[in-house]
Amino acid sequence: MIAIQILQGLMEGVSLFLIASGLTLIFGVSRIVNFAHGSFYMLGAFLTYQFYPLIAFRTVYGFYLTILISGVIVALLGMIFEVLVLRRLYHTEELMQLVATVAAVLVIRDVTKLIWGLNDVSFPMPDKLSGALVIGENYVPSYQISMVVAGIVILAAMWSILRFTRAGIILRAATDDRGMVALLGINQALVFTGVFTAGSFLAGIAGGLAGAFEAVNYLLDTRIIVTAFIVVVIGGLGNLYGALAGAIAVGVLKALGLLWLPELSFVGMFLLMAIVLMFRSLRRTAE
Amino acid sequence: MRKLLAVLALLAMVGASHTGAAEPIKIGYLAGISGVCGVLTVRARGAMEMAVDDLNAKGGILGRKVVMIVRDSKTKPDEGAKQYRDLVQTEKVDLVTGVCSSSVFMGINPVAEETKIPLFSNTSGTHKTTVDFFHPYVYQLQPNTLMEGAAIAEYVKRKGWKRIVTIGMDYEWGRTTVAVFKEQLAEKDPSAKIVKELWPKFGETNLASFITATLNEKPDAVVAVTAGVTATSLIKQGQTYGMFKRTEMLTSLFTDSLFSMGADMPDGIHGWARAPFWAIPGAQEFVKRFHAKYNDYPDDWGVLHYDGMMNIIAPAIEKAGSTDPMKLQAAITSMTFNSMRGKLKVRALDHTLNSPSYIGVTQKTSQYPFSILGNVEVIPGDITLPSPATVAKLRAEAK
Repeated sequence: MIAIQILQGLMEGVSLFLIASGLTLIFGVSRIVNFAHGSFYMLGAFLTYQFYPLIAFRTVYGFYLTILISGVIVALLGMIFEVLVLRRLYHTEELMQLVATVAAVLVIRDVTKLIWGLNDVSFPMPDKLSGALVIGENYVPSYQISMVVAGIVILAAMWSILRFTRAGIILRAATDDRGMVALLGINQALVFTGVFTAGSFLAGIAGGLAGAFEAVNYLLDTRIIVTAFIVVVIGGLGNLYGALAGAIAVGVLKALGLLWLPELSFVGMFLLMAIVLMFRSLRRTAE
Repeated sequence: MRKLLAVLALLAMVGASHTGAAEPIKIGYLAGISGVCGVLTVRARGAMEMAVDDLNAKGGILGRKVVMIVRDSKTKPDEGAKQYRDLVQTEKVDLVTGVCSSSVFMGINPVAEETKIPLFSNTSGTHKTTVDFFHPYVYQLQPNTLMEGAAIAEYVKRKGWKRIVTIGMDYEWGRTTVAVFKEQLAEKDPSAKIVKELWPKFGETNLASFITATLNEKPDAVVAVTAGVTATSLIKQGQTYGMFKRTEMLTSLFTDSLFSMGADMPDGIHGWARAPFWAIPGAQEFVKRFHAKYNDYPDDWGVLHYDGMMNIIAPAIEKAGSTDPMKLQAAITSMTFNSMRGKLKVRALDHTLNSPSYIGVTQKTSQYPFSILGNVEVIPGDITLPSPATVAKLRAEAK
């Protein structure tokens, strides 16, 4: 039973990583706390719900194609938001940028309510992925396995881009030292737009992937953003691998907590975050 | 001479406004139109509008036109309280109905008592308002949490399930229903046991770890007190774990959940509801007309509001001869109502209607684009209403 719960936690962790990755990237480079990240996640889910029936419904390739398309649409929306709104606010205090992203949350939520209404919506997983791998008495849902695979593929893609492409090198440099990157003559505005677009794309596909497994409604944005932030804080703001570690830690903690202390399973991740933050600040004062 | 004419004219005007057209009966509809309750109030409001039109077509109540004034509580208790006061003081309503959220119901209950304008609940299920914090100006016209907990315990006993795991949403409704279920089950079937209690937080959509923890216990049945996205996610994810082949599940399946899952709802899940329209012969006429008017089906809340307004509140006002709260109370607690759900009565002890609970098993049907509950067992309110001893105990504890 412990093994199953740990496996469960790992799978949930990968799903958390997908949304946390975009958030931590955006913060790492542009220092923007993007509350609208949850809204982009939600849009990705709704768009997948809307388009999947039109694109080879119930097939596996149709599913991933729909998710990619939804991700691209969300990325474009993110880009428009960044160029039209955020870009004008970089020189102002950080509070203004925060308020702008919160404004985006409200606008996106109202538009979502207008288009899709107040009811929960649900779309099915691809037929071939709706079964389960049966190991002894235990079922491991095929869809969860596919999520882990998707997570690994995305992580591998991100790692390659960061390591081997020029854009990736610039992103890594910008995370370390924004000022230096600007001094080297690289167009900072383009970097910021690029990372925001990429982060929104990640949020969109995370939403689409999760939407097949969970129910979707207009309140999804605020629900997911809290957990995403906790994961990002635990992993270190801007640290991609930290986000992975944090996501897995939160997922496994929740799953194991249910076995032994079900009343505290929710509190667990907040406790973990508190401990990590304390440990970090202690280490800093010790240096 | 001119002064006398002016005085006479004024007297005539004053006289006319008193003896002229009868004052309309004003019903305040105060509900969470925005906020979390939004999706649960849409059809209820449509049903209320239909009820008001139907009553006026028959000449109103006591020959007076019925007028409905709608206010949004935003699913917030303080906003609800503010709107209640406004409805009473500015709009001068005769009574208020609509409340959806239990926390808002708790918030406006003291205002009903203070303003002495009666409040009727057709959606919010908390019992605390009519049991613990009772006063003569509040009524519950559908099964409350105590009744529902007893109804599901009765069903579990009838099915002979012994090993139970509970999954309850971690807030008032979830906690109370599970607590009542536990207590009632111990009374009705001492050989049954709750072997694990799980508490997903409100709005949780990833139930996978909860499902594996549940199946780990190898229960006969899982009782899930969930709603909204949590309920839908639980069912969707449960399927991928083969949960419904490995155990039985009993959960709240109000009609709005059935609507939202549509064709994705698996067969064989036991669900409880408060007014599933296909299982209520007396509601069919209303359902046809609702569908014709809105191109939509009424959920539990739509049926309950229409039934409440047409078949309980309106006849009670007719019998009382006025909207005076004390006369209304006397009428309501003495009548037998011909409601869609059967011949029902409101008991004086806690102003609660002995409404039945409906528990059935999901099945697909060619008639509707959503699954319905089949093999419905109607569990009468008379066996689920809390005993006077329980009510007295809760009231004493509340002081």
